[in-house]
Formats: sequence, C-alpha cells, structure tokens
Amino acid sequence: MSEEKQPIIDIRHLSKRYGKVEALNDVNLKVYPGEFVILVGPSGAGKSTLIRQLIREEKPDKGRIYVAGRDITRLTSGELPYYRRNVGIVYQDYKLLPTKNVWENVAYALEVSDVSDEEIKRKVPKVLQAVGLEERIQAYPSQLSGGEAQRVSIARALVHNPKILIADEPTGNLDPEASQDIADILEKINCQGTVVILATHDRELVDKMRKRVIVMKQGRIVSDQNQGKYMS
Amino acid sequence: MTKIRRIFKEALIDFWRNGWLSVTATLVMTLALLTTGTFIVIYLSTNKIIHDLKDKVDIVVNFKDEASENLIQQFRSELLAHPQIKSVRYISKEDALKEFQSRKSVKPEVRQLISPEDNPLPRGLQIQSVDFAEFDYVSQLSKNPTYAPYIDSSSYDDNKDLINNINYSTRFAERLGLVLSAFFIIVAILVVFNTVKLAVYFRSKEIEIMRLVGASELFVKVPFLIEGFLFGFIGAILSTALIYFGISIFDVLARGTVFEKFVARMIPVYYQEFWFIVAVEFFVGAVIGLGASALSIRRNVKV
Repeated sequence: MSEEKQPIIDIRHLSKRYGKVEALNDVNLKVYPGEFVILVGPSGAGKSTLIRQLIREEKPDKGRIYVAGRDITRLTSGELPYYRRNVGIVYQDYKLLPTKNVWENVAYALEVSDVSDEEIKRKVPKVLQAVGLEERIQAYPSQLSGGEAQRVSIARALVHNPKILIADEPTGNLDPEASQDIADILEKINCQGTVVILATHDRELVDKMRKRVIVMKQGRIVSDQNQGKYMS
Repeated sequence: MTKIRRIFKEALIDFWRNGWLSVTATLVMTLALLTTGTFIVIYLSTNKIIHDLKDKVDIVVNFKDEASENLIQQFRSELLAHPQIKSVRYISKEDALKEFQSRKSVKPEVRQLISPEDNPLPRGLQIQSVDFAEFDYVSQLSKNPTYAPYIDSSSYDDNKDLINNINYSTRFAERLGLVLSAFFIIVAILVVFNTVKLAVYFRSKEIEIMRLVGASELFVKVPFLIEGFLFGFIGAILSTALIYFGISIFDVLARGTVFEKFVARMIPVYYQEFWFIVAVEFFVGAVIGLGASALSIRRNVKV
C-alpha cells in the first residue's frame, strides 16, 4: 500500500447514533486500491453500521465517506443505484430469490439494471465460472448447500464488475470447509483487482489469511494492522 | 424496449401472484367507477329532460274581455323589454278558438258549444320558451296594479310548481349520486393504497435485493404503478360493460313502471354520450389507480 496512491475509500470522522447508542464514533479509515481488509470486533462494535454507511443504506450523523473521490453521503436517490452497481455486497443469509434458479438469480441483478439480454448471456456464465458453479445453473436455492448458495450470492455481487466487494459475515452459516472455499474465492477476486472488505467473527479464517485487520470496539477503530491476527 | 418489457413482466407477475388482493382492488375500483358512471348517465339524462322541458314551457297570460287592446300591447312591450324574453305572441280570440277547435282531446259536443259569435275564450299573450329565471319577472309584471285587474289567469304558477318539483328531485338525485361516487372513490383509493402497500410488503425481499444490486429506481417502483393502473383499467372495462348491459336490462325491467319514461329518455342520452362516459371512467380509474399507488410507493418503498 504505497502512500502516493489515492485511497479508493476514504472515511473521515464518521459518527452515527441510534438513540442513545453510539454505533460509530469518529471513525477514520483509508482503503487503497487492491487491498483486502478484514473487519473484526464483537457484536455491536459497529461493523455492520459501517457497512450500511458504505453502501449508503443509511446516512451518517457526521462525517464524510469518499469512494473513488466522490462523497457518497451526498448522493441523490437517482444516483444511488449507479453507485451501488460499483459496490458488490454479500450477506450471511445469501438473500437469494427462492423462486429463481441460480442463473436467474444472477441474471436478475443485470435485468433490473437495464442491461441488454445479450450482455446478460455473456456476463452470467463468466461470474458463475469464477465461483465454480457453472454446473449448477438450473438448481434452485433450496437445492443448494450453504457454501453453494453463498457462491451464487458472490457471483451476483460480481456481475456488475464492482470496484469494491463487501462481505458481511459471509461464512457465518457455513462449516469450516465451505468457509475456506469462500475465503479462497474472495482472495481470488481480490487478486483480480477488486477491493474486498470482509467483516467476520471467524478467528481461524482471519489468522490464516494474513491480511490487513481492523479491529472495532464500541464504534471505534482500536487497531489497524497489516498481516494482522484476530483480537477481541 | 427491453426495459419496458421487463417492467411489464414484473408488474403482471405481481398482479397475478397477489391473487385475491388484486381481485378485491379491481372489484372495488369497478364499484367506484360503476357509481361514477351511473351518476354521469343520470346527471346527463336529467339535465337533458329539464332542458327539453324548459324549451317546451310557454307561459300564457290571459286577459279579461274588458282589457283594452292598448293595455295588452303595453303589457307585451314590457315583457319584451326583458332581455331574456325573445318572443311574445299575441293570441286573439279567433286564434284561441282555432287552437281550441284543433285540439284532438276536445269532444265534438263541447266544440259545438263555442262558436265565433259567442266566443268565451280570452285573448292572451304567449311567452315562448322562457327560462326558469323569467318566471318571476312575468309573475311580478302581472301582479302590477295596472294589469292585475284585467288578467284572467296565467299558467306560470302551475308550470312553476312543476319545474320546481323536477328541479328539486333532480338536484337531490345529483347530490346523492355525487356523494355516493365520492364515497366509493375514497374507498377505492384506500383499497388500492393498501393493496399496493401489501404488494410492497410481499415483495420486500425482492425490493431489498433490487436495491443491493443497484436496480434503477424506475425498476423498483414502476411495476407497482402499473399494478395500480391495472386495477383502474380493468375496473373501467368491467364497469363500462356493467352499465352497458345493465341499462338494457333496466330498460326491460322498467316497462310498465313509473320509471319507464325516464329510462326511455335516459337510453338515447347514454348512447349519445357513450364515448364521453367511457373516457371519464378510464380517466378516473387511471387517476385513482396511479395516484393511490404512487402515494403508497412514496410511503412504503425506501430507495
């Protein structure tokens, strides 16, 4: 992470309260292109709140978030969809549509974003191949294992070629083997140039990956180390 | 094009999937439009009937035999001074007799009783096609002491009562129709609002995913607008069909009852104004459907 590079994410003095609870308290964070950042910390430390700010699900009380030089706290509702196409997001519960099969779930992200049918036919197989699901395109979410479902969700997040991929507890419901698969896929995506932000409780995974680890506690960043280990 | 196709597909799937909810919203919409359409038909028909009646109403002021020709002519000029009174015909005794003799309802025996030599029929002034507002003017003029002693009778009081009665009943029917239409339209707005709210709720997972993957605002919201529009559109089709067939059934049912004459006058008005009524129904349906849906989306869909 060379200092002359512009940060792709630049969070400045971010604060957010829910009633009396201080979810984020003056958070400052810079993430540079190509980085893989792991966000750890106990429940209620503010990881999810920070992620919600990053995808502009919520607005902060104070502070600014610059993504690729643009202040996303000031996006209008018309600009928001275009921003979100640049930020892929993966959740613990996959959020797949049960009535659509693997292919349709991934294609859906493109259909609702005004992408042409030809482009959908071109892009969907590519991302499904990237997550190793090209054999399962006809399967419905109920027929998939947890690891497979999470890979569909990653494929969907990648289909817009986002600059940033955010994964909020992606391995929370998975066994260690499937978790490792997901971690490998995330690393692979990162190697291809996408910034990955991974929020997790998985100590084993964090220690093995040897990435930049940011520890949050009570809405503050308490530690930020390269090749860090899980601390709580 | 692709976009429009996808959005329509979403809307139709959603309309279908919501099943009974869609049916209820559509039926309430039909009811609202049916009431509105019926109200318009009745309003137009009664207006037409009143208009026809007013055109036909002539007031005749009859003078006693002792009234001088001059006095009658003076009365006539005063009537014509009123800007709304266009034509006043003088009826001489001969004219009155001729008219009387030509009436088919008069029995021959009675006809014989009156001869040109002994003509009891009065001279009169016939004020033609007066509008309701001129009744009072005529009435006041004939009560003027200069004329009053010489005036035998006049038909304005009878006619006034008749027109008053009709006016009163039609105003009542119009108000009732208006209140009912407004009531059903409000119910329709509420039902569509809540149906869309539920549809949004049922699709909340999909909407969440759409937002996550950066669906354009249009794609999230327009399917619900189309759904709302469909309630109004189908409602308009159904209510038009119901009125169209209902009126023919009503025609048959009304035969031999007190409504027969009214229905007989209503039907041509309906056919004459058919496209106007259809246009109003589709317009009202579309506005209610789109409007209530838009309100609901604004309240219930977060971007």
